[in-house]
Amino acid sequence: MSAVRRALARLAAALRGHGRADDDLRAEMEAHLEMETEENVRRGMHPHEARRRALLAAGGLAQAAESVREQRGLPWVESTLADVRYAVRHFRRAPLSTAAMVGVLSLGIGTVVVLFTVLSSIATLPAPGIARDASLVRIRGTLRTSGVANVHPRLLSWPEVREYAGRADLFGAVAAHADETALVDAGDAAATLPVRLVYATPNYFGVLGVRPALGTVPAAEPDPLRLTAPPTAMISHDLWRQRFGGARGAVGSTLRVNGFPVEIVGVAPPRFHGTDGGGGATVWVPLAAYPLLQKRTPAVFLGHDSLFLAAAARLRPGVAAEAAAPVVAGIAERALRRERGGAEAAEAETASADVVPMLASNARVSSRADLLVSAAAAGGLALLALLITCTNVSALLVGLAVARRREIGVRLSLGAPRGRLVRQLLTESVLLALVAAAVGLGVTSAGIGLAGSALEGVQLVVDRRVTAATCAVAVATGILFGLSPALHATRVSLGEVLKSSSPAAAARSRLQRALVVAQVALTQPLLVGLGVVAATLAADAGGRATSGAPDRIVEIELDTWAGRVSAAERASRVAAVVERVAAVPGVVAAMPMEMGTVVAPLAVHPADRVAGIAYAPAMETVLTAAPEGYFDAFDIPVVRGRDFDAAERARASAADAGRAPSFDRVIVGSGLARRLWGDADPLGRRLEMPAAARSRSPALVVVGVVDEPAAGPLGDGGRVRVYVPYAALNTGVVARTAGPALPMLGTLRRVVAAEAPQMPISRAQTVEQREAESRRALLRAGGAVAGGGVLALLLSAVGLYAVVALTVGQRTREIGIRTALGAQGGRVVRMFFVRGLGLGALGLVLGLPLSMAATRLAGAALGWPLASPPLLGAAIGAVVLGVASVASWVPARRASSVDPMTALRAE
Amino acid sequence: MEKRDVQPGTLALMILKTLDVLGPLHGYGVARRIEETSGNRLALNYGTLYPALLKLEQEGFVTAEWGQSENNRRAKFYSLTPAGRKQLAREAREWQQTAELIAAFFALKPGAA
Repeated sequence: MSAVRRALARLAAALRGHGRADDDLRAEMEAHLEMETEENVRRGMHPHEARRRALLAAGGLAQAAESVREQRGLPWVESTLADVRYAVRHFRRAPLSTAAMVGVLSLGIGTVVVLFTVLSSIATLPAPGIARDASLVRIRGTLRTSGVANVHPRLLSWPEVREYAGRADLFGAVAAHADETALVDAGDAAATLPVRLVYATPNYFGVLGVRPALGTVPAAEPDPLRLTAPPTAMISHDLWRQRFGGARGAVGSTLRVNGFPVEIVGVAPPRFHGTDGGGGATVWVPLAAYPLLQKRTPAVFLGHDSLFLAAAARLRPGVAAEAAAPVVAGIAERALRRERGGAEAAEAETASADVVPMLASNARVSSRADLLVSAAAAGGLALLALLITCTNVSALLVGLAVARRREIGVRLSLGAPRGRLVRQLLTESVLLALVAAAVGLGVTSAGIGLAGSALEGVQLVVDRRVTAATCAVAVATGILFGLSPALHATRVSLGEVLKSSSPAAAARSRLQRALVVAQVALTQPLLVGLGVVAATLAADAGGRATSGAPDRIVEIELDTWAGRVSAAERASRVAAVVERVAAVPGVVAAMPMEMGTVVAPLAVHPADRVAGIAYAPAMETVLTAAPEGYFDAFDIPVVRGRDFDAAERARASAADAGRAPSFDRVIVGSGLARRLWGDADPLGRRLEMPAAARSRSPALVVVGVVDEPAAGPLGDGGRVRVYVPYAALNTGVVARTAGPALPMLGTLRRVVAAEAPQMPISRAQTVEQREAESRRALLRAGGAVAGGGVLALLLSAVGLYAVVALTVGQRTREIGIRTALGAQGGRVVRMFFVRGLGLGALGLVLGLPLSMAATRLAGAALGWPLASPPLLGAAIGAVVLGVASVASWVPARRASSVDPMTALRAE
Repeated sequence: MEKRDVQPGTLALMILKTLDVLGPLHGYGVARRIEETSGNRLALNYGTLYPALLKLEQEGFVTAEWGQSENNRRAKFYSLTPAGRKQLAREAREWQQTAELIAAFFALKPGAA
């Protein structure tokens, strides 16, 4: 008790400072002395003698005061505080290098932790709203085609799910759900909206551990397959905010789902959108409502071949997913064999099932492997970033240390004990490292916030151990290298330190130069990898330019599945919509819009090749449908041959809707025509599928050549485009307007909605808007990529700067002598500049093999064609050298400002 | 007669006892009294006395306050706190026991056991 009280009193005294207490003590001792003197006088001594005797008895006032002082505060803490004050003063004198240190360390920590967090979160966490739990698993259906290594995903049937649920020895509970798209409106038919509709068994929410933010989950039916009351729904948090403005009154109101009234009974927690993550409005209803809302018969629940469900399950305590998987696979294979009557020995496809931990990323069988590849690649990037950070910090600190040799020498010669000096430098490094770590954590949380808003459908959780380990590595590097001058300088002899250029200093500078070269070399693969991504993204964007008048083209896309209409009905509705849009005043032309992008491998028919031109075995070819009026609408002139005629387009009649297209005529761009046939006449020449698929589809005869604006070959390894007479599937309308299309968007929307009420508009915008949007998305992605590259480059630049600045600082005397002897400023600057640039170039050369490996790895991992690696390498090399020259030139220029008198007097 | 320094650990007890007997007292008074009690066999210099007083103050066994001395001089007066009184009783008991134990050992005679 008293010990604690004493410690507190000492701490308080240490914090209060010693000023007043010292005065107090002095007064007290003085009083003591005087009382003793008086006593001595009373005993008959002469006042002088009395005072002398009193002082003698006191035994050294100053020592007494010092020993009281030691008792009073916490001397260790106080001298540390003094060190801290000294360090802060030191940092304030060198704000640039301090900021550089903190910047390098904190950015390094931030980058590494953010990269790692995103990767590990994607790879190891369930979808947002679901807590990580080892006992929560998915039961996934799989499909293996004989002779092919790939496993495909498949859905489950209700009887199958029941069989799994029957294995009470493995599973505590098995929940099934069917994810569909549906049309939802809240009474206002004009505001119909496609949503994700999840039909779930009553135990779905319990198994996932999801509790509604408001209200309750949909009412459980006694029989999960039979509705006894009108269905009720839980809506996702974002839908609630969007549609009901976050009002509590939303619970109890009615939604119309596919036309049926459904009462809202609850709101899901924020960010929860089901087991597979992703954003978007979501509505959960009982599985029993499936036949009603999906317009199916209850027979959907019967039979092993009615595959429409996915399953989530809780394992029994002590059961591992690996142990449950073979049992589940056995059940699935047996059940499906029974279904087929056991006579399918030669069946091409084997259905099975597996059990895996519930992650956001493993909803489908095949997606995980790809994910792991990219996770590993990016994990490598994170490690590289950490390595660069540490290299850089050490380079900076070594530079600073050499710069301080003289100061340390002076302090040593003034009698500072070595231990005290080491402690001082340790205090400085620890302080700097801690500040950097704190800033780094700030950078991290900002980065996580940024990543979180960019990756809406991903749950991000910062791994504390990794964060701590990263901080520890970075901080330890800082401390270790911060200490090195202390250990070094206190070892060498005083004279040597003061003599400014010792062999030890030379060795140290060599080490630092080596570090910077290593860093430039290590930065490069990062830059090249990022550059490849950026270039590929840019090339991709280039291919999207479609028209010369983007502000006069409107695209309206429909969700043709939401209303569950038949294929024939869908085709005739789209045709009607096109007709109605064409009739709107101000619309010059309207044509159906095809769904997505159709790509096929095509090669030039051997008989139609031209000597002297190299042909690829197959070109990735985009088959763009050119319905009637297409070339006019997009201002693409037909320069040779002709446009498709009505007969060729007529094959896309209603009877053909939904069937695979079988056209045999194409139109090519003039650029492609020149590439494939040079100056020879392209008309009548044929393109065909490569050998394997040839038997099934006819050759495509070129009937015309158009002069396209931007579209064409999309880069060397990229795709080419040909036009075909019609699309396999049309899911929207494209309209060319006479004037700017933006003001007409509302009118066109209304016209389309009136014509096709079952097919809600999923997208309506001008081409200009769409291109701006994709440019923005591209810029965002590219910005992140470029940010990483710039960061790496910045780090190397700082390192290079440190080296050159150090050399200049070290050789101030030499520069002074040279200048005094008549050397031109420019020559001196050149000397240092060339040295710095040389280091950059050396790093560039050494990093080349690494960069090439990184390029290959990135290409393989991303599956993207690489746009001319040599060109890219050259560009990156130029950038690196450019940055290196700036980083060396700035400090080198300082050499010319050295005044010979000052430099020489400094000795 | 040769003067001795105080034995470590005993000074605190002496101070506490002095304050207990004489009531609030300044540093000089404490030193004087201890030296007198010891028959001037102990010498207390400032470097011994004041750190000990500060330690007792920090431990909460004494409090200090500035006041007027008998001959109208400003001085810092130390007085015993209730915790100090308890500590004094405890330490006195311990010393008593230790002294008895040591005495018992010295009372032993060769071959008596």
